[in-house]
Amino acid sequence: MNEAIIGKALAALIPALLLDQQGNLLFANERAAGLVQLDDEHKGGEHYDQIIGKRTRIYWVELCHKLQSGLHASVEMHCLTGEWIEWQLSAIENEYVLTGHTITSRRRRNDKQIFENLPIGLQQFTPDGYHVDINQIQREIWGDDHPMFTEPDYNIVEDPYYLQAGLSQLFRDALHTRQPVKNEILLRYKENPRGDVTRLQPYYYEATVFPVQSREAGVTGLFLMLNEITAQKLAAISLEKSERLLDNIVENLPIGYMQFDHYGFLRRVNQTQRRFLGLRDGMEATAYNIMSDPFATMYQLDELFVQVMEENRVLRLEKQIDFSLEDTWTDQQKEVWLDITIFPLQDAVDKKQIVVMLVNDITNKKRERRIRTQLQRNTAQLHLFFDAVDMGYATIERNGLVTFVNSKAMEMVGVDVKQGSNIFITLPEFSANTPFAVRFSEAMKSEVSETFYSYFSRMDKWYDFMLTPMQDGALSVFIRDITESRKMQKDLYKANNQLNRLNRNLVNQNQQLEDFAHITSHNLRAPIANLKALMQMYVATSLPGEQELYLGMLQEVIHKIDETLNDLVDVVQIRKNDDVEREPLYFAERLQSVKDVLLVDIEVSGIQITTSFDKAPVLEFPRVYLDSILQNLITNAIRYRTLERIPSLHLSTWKESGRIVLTAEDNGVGIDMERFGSKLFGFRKTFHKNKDAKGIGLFITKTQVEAMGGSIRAESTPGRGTKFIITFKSE
Amino acid sequence: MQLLNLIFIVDDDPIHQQIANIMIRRQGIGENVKTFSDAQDTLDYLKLHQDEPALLPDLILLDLNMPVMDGWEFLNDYAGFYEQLSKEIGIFVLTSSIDDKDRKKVDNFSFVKGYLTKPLSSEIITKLQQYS
Repeated sequence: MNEAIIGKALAALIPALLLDQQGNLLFANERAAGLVQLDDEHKGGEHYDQIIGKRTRIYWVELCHKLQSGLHASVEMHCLTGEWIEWQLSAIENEYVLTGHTITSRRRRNDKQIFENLPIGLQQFTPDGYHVDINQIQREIWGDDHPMFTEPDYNIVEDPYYLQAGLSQLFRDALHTRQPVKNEILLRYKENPRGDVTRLQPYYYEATVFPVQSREAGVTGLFLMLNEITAQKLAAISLEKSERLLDNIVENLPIGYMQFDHYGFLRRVNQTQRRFLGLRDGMEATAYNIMSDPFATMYQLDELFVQVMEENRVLRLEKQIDFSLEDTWTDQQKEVWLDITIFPLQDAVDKKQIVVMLVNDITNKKRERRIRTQLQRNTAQLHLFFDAVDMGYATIERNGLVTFVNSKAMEMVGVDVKQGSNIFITLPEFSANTPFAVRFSEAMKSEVSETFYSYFSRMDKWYDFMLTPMQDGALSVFIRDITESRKMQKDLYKANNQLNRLNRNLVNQNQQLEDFAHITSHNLRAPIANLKALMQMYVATSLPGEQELYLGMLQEVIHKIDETLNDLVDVVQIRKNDDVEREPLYFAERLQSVKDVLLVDIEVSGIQITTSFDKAPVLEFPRVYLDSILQNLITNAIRYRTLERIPSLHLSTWKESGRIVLTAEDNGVGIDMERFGSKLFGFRKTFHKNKDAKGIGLFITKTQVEAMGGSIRAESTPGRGTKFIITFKSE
Repeated sequence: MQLLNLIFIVDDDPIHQQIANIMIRRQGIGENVKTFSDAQDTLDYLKLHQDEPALLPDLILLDLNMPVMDGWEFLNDYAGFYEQLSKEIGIFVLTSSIDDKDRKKVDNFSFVKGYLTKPLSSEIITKLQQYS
């Protein structure tokens, strides 16, 4: 009885399930049926796997095996009533019994512990969004003063801030789809004071909302799981930023940047390169391929591309490219030198294999380099040249330092002048206050070439120096040996003088020849014309009276011709006798002799002749000529005297520039020089009605003076007198 | 043919003066011949009688090479007043100069009718006749 009572009581208290060897349910007491939720009809025939195994993932086979192996065969199940039951399997004869023990409080304790010790924040909400439970991590995330802990009516779904941040939407989506949803949320900012500045530090979380649902009640709760990802997020942002930066840098690189995919298609061109190439609009959009573009192929850029891909390394080269040959996609028209660097790379963003080409226009640099090389070569050539020329050459700095000196210069100064030595010290001839040093500083100061010559006693040479300031502040010195040329110059000067004299003589003689031709044509043709006319007339008449008249006239003409010829012969004689003997003659002595000859004329005219020969008393001259000259001068003075006053003639001599000058000044009628000056010394030129005048005296005088290398001229004032000035050739 | 009323010979050579005188008379081209040894005297005469056509010559035979005033000076002076003369006078240069320069220089004087070279011949006289 007691056993029965106890059995009954136990049966009522302890849930128990009776199963056959296959796990099929044979019997379930009321308590157990409640826990596994069996209907009255299902209290038999159900299988263990259906009612427990499916929920616990520990199936009948496994459980039996544990029992048969002598192990503790039990399974913990969370029942739909909310209780936790541990089902313990034991065998009674050919049947099995599962007895249940409530372990809810233990499990709850465990769950809470798990809940609390999760490494991420976890929080339970009602489906409407009211806070239910939260673990420690999540509580720390929100902070204890969050309204959800302080205000009983706080609803997270309706918080405007979370609406904006996208968290509310997660709750709604999870509720609606009944699926877990996840997103990155910027949940809050935290003040981060550092010194005087407080920064707002953003905190990013990965928020996961998942629903908890039961078959009957649907969604019974929503769980929010927060996992802080600030560090990752900031890293991602910073990566994005640096990508953008890199992008920007590439775009604004001062050198050209071109990016190709591994097929050779152009992926990107930065603005420097765009500008350099003068890319036409749409060029970047067109599928440009370096492997197939004819222009690129012409310059073997395709081969370069392949080489880079194959060898997987950086290549750098200089290439001369003439863009004027390409006009389909570029406006660049020049021939340029490019420094090209080309290398393969994996794109940081899309991880694709690319080839980057860096292009630098080095045309100007190249040109400069070429000019510099040319200049260096020129300088070398110049030095070579200066070593070869037959002229001393040196370049000297302002302070006298020799930077270059050719071998000829050293030979000329007789000293081995070293480059870098000081010229003012090395050569005493060039030291301070010498002509060289003075001209050197002159040239430096004025920046104008100085030229001078000076005697270099050590070498017994005359040198011609030219000091030319150069742009770099140094000075070029050119030295020429002019010893020989100075000698030649002297000789030349002498020869030139002789030539001048000869020339003067020739001109003189030429003039005389011309005069003579004129004389013969004028003074001989006239009487001969008369002769011809008279002969005609004589022949034409038969009257004796007339014939006689013509014969008389003929005689007169012939006499005139004879006279003219005699005068001409005299002149010719004088001119021919250029080596007529000269002798020292005293003017006073010769004058006396002439005065003796002209005694009668002098006496009759009453002319007063005065002299002053003391400054040049003697002249080396042919005696006959000087006598003739003096006689003509006196005769003229007498012939052209004026009756208005006592005639006078003053003869005077002196020396002028080594020449003896004789003047004869009378007080006669004078000559209108303007009108008759050109006729004064002419042959048979008269310009007055004096019957004695034949126009021969002054012509003879002129001829005699000129034959001896002298000259004669006259000054006169009509009515006052005439002055003849004779300059004799220097002795 | 009309005889020239008056012919002037201007030449300093007395022989030439005689020859010209005789030849002109013998050829019978002029009634009166007047000779001048000096060009200045000739100019003075012309200026004195410029308003008396009867006293002015029809022809002047002018030498170039003369003392005091030569033929060139005569021509220069004559150029200044000949338009005021009451009669047109034919001037011929008669010179012994065969210098081309002289011939060209004479061309500058438009009123000179001809350049003749000495000696004076019957052919030249005939030319002068044609002028008259």
